[in-house]
Amino acid sequence: MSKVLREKASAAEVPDYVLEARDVSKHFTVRGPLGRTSVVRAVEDATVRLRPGQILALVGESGSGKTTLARMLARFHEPTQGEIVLRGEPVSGNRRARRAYHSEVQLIFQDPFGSLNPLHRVRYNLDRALRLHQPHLTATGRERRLTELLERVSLTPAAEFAAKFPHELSGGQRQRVVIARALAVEPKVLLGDEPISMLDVSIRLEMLNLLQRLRTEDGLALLYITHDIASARYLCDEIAVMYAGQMVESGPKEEVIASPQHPYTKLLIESSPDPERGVGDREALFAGADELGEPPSLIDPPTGCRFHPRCPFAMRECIDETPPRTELGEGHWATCWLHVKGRAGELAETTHAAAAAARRETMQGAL
Amino acid sequence: MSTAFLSSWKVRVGLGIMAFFCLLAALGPWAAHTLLGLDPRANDISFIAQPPSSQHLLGTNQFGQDVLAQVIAGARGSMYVGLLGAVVGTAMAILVGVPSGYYGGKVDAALNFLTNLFLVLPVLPLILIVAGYLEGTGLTTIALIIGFFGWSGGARTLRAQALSIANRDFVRAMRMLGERGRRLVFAEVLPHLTGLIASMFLHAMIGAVMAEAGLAFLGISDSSAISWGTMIQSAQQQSAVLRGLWWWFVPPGLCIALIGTACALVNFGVDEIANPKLRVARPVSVRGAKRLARAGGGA
Repeated sequence: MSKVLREKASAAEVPDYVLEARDVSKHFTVRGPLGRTSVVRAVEDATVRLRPGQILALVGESGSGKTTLARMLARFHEPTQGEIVLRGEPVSGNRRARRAYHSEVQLIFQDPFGSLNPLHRVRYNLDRALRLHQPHLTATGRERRLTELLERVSLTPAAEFAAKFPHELSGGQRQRVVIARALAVEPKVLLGDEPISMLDVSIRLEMLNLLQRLRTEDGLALLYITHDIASARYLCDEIAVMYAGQMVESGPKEEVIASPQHPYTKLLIESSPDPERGVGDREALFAGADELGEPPSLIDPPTGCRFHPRCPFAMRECIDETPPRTELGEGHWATCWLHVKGRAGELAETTHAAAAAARRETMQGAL
Repeated sequence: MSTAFLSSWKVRVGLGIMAFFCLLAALGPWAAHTLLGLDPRANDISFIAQPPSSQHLLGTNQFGQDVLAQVIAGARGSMYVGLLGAVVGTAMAILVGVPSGYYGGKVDAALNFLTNLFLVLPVLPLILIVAGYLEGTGLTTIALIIGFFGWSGGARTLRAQALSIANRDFVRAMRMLGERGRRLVFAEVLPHLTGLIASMFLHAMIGAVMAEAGLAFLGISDSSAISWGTMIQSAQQQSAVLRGLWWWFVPPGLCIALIGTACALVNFGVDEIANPKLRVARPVSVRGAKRLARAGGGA
C-alpha cells in the first residue's frame, strides 16, 4: 500500500518525462605529453527532459558538448556529476540495469557508414536485436517482425534488403537500417546524434519525415541533435541551445527561433543559410563574419558567461559572474545578463553583425 | 571473394605446392611403401652413400637408407610439426591478443605484460632448456614448444588491430543493443582480423617448419623420428657437405625452402584481401575493358 502511495507521489512529482538528465556534467581528464593532466569540461550542469511523443532539438556548434550529452544519455559515459533519470528513477551502473536501460533508450549514430559492421548482412543486425530483446519470438515470429521493421523504414522489398551487406546500400538506406535496428528493440526514447548530417541533402527530408512518423505513430520521445537550425525547426517541438558545454537557452521552437533571447542563439539563427534572404541583406549581415570568433577552450573556459569574449552586448557582469537563468514564460528561458539588466529589448532591435560592428566602432572611439 | 582470391597466379602456385606437400605428408609414406616398396629405415648395405641411380632415385645415405623414402617420410614429420606449431601459436596469439585489445584496462595491462615478457624471452636458449628438461622430445613435444614460445609477435599485432576495431561505432552500436562481451569479440571484432590471422598462420607455419629443422640440427629431436630436420642433422654429423654427398642434404633443404615459398606466395594473396590498397588492377578487368573497347570499335 505504502509502495503504491510512494509510486503515486513520485508520479506526481515528475508528471510525464520518460528520460531526464538532471544537472549532468562530464569532465574528461587528458594527459599532456609531459604527464601534465588537464580537465576538459565537456558538459556542465546540463538538464534535458524528454516527453513521449515530443521531439527536443539540441543545437549548438561543434564542440559545444551535444554529442557528449547524448553519449551520457546513451550511457557510454558515466556523468561526472548529476544523474540520468528514466521514468523518475535514477539509473544505476551495473550491467543488468544497463541492459534494461538500453531496451528503452537507443542511440542513432551520426555516421551510417561506421555504425554497421561491414561483414554482417542487414538480416543479422535486425535478427540479433530481436533475439536479444524479444526472446519470446519464434523463428517465424522474428522473420515477420523483421519484414515489418524494414517496411516501417521503407526498405522494400524487405526480403531483398535483408540479404544485403552494408556496402551494397546507400548512406540513406544504411541510416534506415540503423533506425530499424534501434526500433527492433522497441525503445521508448530515440537519441539521434546528428542522424542526417552525413546524408545527401536529397534524402534528408525523407529521414526527417521518418522520424516525425515514429513520433506521431509510436509516441517515441526523440532527442534530435543537430547544428542545422532549419531541420530542427522542421522537426522538433522544443529547442535547447548549448554553448561551450552549457545550456544557454531553451523553449518552444517558434519562440526561440522568432525571438531568440540569448545573443548566441541569435548568432546561430542568423548564421544559418536562408534562401529567402536578399543578396544585399546578406552582405550587411555577414560583413563581420570573419570576426565572429571561435568557440572557447573547454580546458580553460572564460570566466562569467562563457560567451562574453564573442558577445557584442558584453558588460562588466558578463566577465565576472555567471548569468542567472531568467524564466520568460511558457517554458522559455535564457541565461543572459541582458534580461537581468533590462536590456533584453536590444536583442530584438538589431542583428548580431550590426551589434558587433557598432561595438567595434565604440571601442575604436574609446581608443 | 574466394574466386577473386584464386585468380592471382601467386596464390594458385602457392596453394598447389602446399597441397602437394600435404598430400605427400598424408599419403606419401603409404604410397612409398606399397607402390615403390621403399622403407625409410631399411639399410641397404650394398649401397652405402651412393649417388642417385635407378635403384635409389635420390641416392642413399651413410647408412644405406634410401633418401627419397626418407624425404617422403620426413614430409610427414615436418608438416606435422609445422601445422601443430602454427595452430598452437596462432590460437594463443588470438586468445591473448584480441581480448587484450578489446577489453583494455586491467585485462590489457595483464595480457600485454605477458606478451611483452614472451617477446623479450630469448626463445632459442629457452627451448633448449625446456626440451632438455622434458627429456622425451617427440615431434609433438617439439611442435608444442615451438607454438608456445612463438605467439607473442602475433598477439601484439592482433592487440593493436583489436584496439582500433573495438572503438568503432558498429561495435559500440552492438554493445548498446545488449550484445555480450564474448559475442562482441568473436562475432564483431574477430571477423575483421581473419586476413591478418590467415597470414599469421602461414608465417607461423614456415617458422615452425624451420624451427623444427633448426632444433633437429642442434640435436634437439627424437633421433628415431624422421623429419627433414633430422635428415639434415645426420647429414651434417656425417660431414656430408665435406664429402660431397649433396643428394643427402639438398632434397630436404629444398623441400623446406619450397614450403616457405608456397606460404609466402599464398600470403601475398591474403594480404591483398586484407589490405585492398595492395590490390592491383586485375588483368581480368583490364582484358574485359579491352574486349569492350574492341567490340565498340568493331560496331
